Amino acid sequence: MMNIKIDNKEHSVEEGQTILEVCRNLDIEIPHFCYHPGLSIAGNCRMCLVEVKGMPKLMTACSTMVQDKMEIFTDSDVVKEARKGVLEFILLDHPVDCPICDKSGECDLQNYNFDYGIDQRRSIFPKERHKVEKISEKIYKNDNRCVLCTRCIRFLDEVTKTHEFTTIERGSHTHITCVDPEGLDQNPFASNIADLCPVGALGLNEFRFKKRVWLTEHVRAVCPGCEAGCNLTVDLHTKQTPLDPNVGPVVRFTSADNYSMQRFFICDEGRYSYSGYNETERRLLHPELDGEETTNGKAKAFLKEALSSELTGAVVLSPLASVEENYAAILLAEQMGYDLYRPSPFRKDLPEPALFIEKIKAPNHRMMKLLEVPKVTDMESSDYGVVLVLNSIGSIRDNSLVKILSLLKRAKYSITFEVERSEFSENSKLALPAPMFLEEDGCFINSSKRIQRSTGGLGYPEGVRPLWEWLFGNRFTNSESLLTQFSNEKLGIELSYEKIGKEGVEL
Amino acid sequence: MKKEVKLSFWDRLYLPAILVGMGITIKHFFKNLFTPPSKRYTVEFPERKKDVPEWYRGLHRLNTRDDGSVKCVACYCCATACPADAIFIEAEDIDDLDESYPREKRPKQFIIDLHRCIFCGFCQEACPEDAIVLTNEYEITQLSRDEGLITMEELIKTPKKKMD
Repeated sequence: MMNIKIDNKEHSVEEGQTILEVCRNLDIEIPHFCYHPGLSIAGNCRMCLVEVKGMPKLMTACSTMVQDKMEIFTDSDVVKEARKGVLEFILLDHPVDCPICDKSGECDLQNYNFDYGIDQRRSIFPKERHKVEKISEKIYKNDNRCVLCTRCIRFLDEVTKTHEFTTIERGSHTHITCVDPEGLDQNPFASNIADLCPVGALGLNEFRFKKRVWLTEHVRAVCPGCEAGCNLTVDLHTKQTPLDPNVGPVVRFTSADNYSMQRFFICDEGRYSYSGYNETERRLLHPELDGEETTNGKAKAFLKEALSSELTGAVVLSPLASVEENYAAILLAEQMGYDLYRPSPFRKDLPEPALFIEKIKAPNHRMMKLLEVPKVTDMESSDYGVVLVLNSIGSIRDNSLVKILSLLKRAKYSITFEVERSEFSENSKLALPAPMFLEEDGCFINSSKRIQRSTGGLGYPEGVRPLWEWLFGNRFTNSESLLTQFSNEKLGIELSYEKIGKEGVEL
Repeated sequence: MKKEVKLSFWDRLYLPAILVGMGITIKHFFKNLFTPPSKRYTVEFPERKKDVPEWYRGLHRLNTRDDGSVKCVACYCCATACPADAIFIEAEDIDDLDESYPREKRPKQFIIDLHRCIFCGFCQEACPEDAIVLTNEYEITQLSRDEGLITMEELIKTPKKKMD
């Protein structure tokens, strides 16, 4: 531990950190463009200049290591003047076309210029103009806006190691160019460079001119695409307007930083999976008894009849459902003495390079493994009177699917909890509507045994209720109480949403 | 609280008050009769129209460039500033990018719901391109709700503000 002074305040910090990292942990803002926690340090944007006592010149906070008894000033007059100068140089050739830029609203340059910049441009020379290019199927490039932070180049060099980007020419003519557009098309992580770009120089064709950032609501979620459990920032736009150009409630997925996992990027497959949540055609929104819509009261009566029938029962959990939903089903099985099973999740070969993607294409498979639930395919007899199946269609293998279907067909009381009309709901007596991802708060345990929280920003649609309300009525008021009970009984630790926080807890 | 007013004999006759009122009316009648029509306060509305002050905020107009294309770049600033949620925009990409006159974005649809609009003028304040302005046009009535949704083509045709 070292004692340092930042802005005349004493702090004791750990060794081996840069000034920028120390300040980030202490919530002291230092503006920066080229620094990114997931990439190497370049120190080329000069935005993070700070004053260090005893040093003849200003130091870049991103590349200077803290030393014992260091005195740092992040807000002195010299620093303010330097920031103004750096921003003026960056804005010399910047078009300042914020009204049409898709980054505006979440643009670092825009924010920093408001906070630290100058109001009036002093240069009288015309700005250099470049054409906007669609450099790949996914990404467009606007050189006018580029601040040459080289985050995109470093990402493709260091993280994916595919080297599609480089800078060419010298001095004020320097710009970034794509030397391998085909490689960028095939790169399964290419779209991250649009997130990385601190300005609007690189953007996604998919999001181009679709929605302004400030009109959306941001929600933190966990990607349900695979077991890796990458953090997402989900942009939601729920306001209904008479003119809605195919922009559904889910506008886009971007990556959310998770410092505890040291993960800052997501795969393109996960990123573009957002559109699936806007399709409502096959959605199940009312309980269905024998394939026909019915009222909640009749569905509840059927459930009550099934649970009081004293027949043998089986509960099939789901690797797609959250910890809370699965735990509600486990509680029912324990209460009634039913057998618990889990389906085998769908597997897919990894792309090259295989970063932050897992083979198992279900977000909560690790929970079932932790609890040692037997596989549904290992079941000996399939004669059960009552069968409850949680929503798992699309994420399980065919042999599990066949087994579950035979279970449903043979049972006297077959109940499914489904998001969409599927083979399960068609072959069961009672199909209950289930909330979708983003409609319900829930936790997921990823492949490295980290429990993370996904926020339900959309809320339950009309008619859809959570599983614990169907099974236990008013016994649980919210999903958090289920999580607390689950962690106490099954994991031996006390967990709450506050404790899990943004970045999750390692189990 | 009830206030008792005692009327005198003359008040109870009512005649003097009526005569005073009639006097004012007759005074204005003769005054108007001998003033030229252009200086009268009362205007025969549909035939003659009153000029409104320059700052009057009436029907919206979308300004155009010299080549006839609409100035609006679909930045949604007006829709964001609108307190009544009356502006709806769908943006569109312009594929042929001319290097000398770069334009990337334009509105595909631009709709203002006149039934929602409160004519506060925030949209023209927010506009970075001077595209949307409120003109002095005040005759905006429709026969149905649907006609209240005015489209981009109609907004371009709104007559310009008279500037002296």
